[in-house]
Amino acid sequence: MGDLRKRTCMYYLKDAGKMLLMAIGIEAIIVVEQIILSLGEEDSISSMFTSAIVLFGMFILLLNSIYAMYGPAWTDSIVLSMGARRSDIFVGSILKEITFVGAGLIILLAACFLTANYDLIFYSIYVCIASLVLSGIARIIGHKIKKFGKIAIMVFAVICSIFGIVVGMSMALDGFIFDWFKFSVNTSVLTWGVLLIIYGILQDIVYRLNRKARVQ
Amino acid sequence: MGTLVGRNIVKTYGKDTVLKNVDVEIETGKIYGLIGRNGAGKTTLLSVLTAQNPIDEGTVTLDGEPVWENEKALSRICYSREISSVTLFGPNTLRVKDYLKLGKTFYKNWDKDYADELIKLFNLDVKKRVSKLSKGMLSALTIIIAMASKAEITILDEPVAGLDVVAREEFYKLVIDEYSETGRTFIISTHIIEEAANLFEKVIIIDDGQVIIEENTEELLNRAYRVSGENFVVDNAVQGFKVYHPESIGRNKVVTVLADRPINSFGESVQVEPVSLQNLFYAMCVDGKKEA
Repeated sequence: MGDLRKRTCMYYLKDAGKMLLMAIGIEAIIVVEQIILSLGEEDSISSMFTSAIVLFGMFILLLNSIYAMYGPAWTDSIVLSMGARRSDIFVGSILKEITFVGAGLIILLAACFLTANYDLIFYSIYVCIASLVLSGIARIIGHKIKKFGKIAIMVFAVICSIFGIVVGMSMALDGFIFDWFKFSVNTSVLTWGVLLIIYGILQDIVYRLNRKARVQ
Repeated sequence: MGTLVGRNIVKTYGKDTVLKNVDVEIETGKIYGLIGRNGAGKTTLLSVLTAQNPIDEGTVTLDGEPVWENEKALSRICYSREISSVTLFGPNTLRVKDYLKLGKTFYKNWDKDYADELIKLFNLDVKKRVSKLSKGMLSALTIIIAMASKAEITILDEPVAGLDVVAREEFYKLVIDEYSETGRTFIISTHIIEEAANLFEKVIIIDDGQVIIEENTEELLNRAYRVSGENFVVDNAVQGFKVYHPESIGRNKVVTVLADRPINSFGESVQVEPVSLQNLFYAMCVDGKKEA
């Protein structure tokens, strides 16, 4: 590995560390809040642990996607202006995502075992894999935002809002209007494998977009 | 010694061709001035020479090797460009120290002591967020990153914009001292030509996406003249030369002439004065050239 790639990867690894600390920090605040709110309630501890694990999974998913979307127009642009190569940025950002998600998965699994929430083990693995796939999509969206500016953010926000409304309505109406919006934790290893392949395809698209990246 | 060469560079943004078959050759160990009007293509040229922007046609090489995605070439170059206080997602919330840390991470020859010295010189608060910096402070940060990078080829894009006269003089002194000590190559793009002209060993003038001059500054100015006198006398005297920005004042006329070589005399009936780089540039840009 060349010197420039090593330096770029070190930068992105430090970024992953900061993201992880942020996720842990937000989680800690919420856990403390829940402890305060549920003082005196029966079985509050076990339900608190369950929701803490579920929430942390969501934070991994959200933060990974958000930072991936920010990447092309912000972090990657700064790094490119400092002389990094596009291939280094590509490798560095994958390393950052995998490090963050991997560390998050370890924390989740440890929490599952320590709190005896064994039924959340597959949820933890699933949410981490989903986080990688979503970050791939987010990075592509990030490139479009970089190219088209704020209009792309608005278009993306509208699409997400419509999607959220439809899913929300489906879930609110006892059962689901559209079965294919039914989210369940799929424990099939085949599904995980397919998701990882999708992640690979998305990263191939990201690589091609990255090749044309420029400092704005 | 090395050479950063751009050949037949074409760069378009949508329908606009910003660089049109540009040829440029930067020899290491010199200080270059890059001057041009707003929108002439200075920043685009610098960004393609440093592979921060892909070109549509042409080649950019450093010592014969392509610069694009080349670690060896890129690690010899620092292009310190204007830092924006606003990003697509809102104010730039990075702090000065974050940018300096980035410089330390990516420039292998980063000189931290020199950077600290420059921070004191420009009186920069490293804890301040970039969005809270004044234009002058942003320029100072750009300069610190460029100088402390200790890169063999250091490019600064309008580094003195926003700096007061004292800070500008400090910057010019820094460049001269650094050049004398290390022989680094500097390419400085600026609009404040008069002040910086003494710094430039070579000058590149870019206009409408084309390099119109790339020459030793002294040699260029040795063949540039301001010729004045009566209308018909001046017209006779400058016949056959490239004439820029003719101005008639009553019966008298003043023209700027750029000859192919130094001229001993234009005749006795005209007054001939040397032309500064700024005035030459102004004359070339304000009017298109025409043969007298």
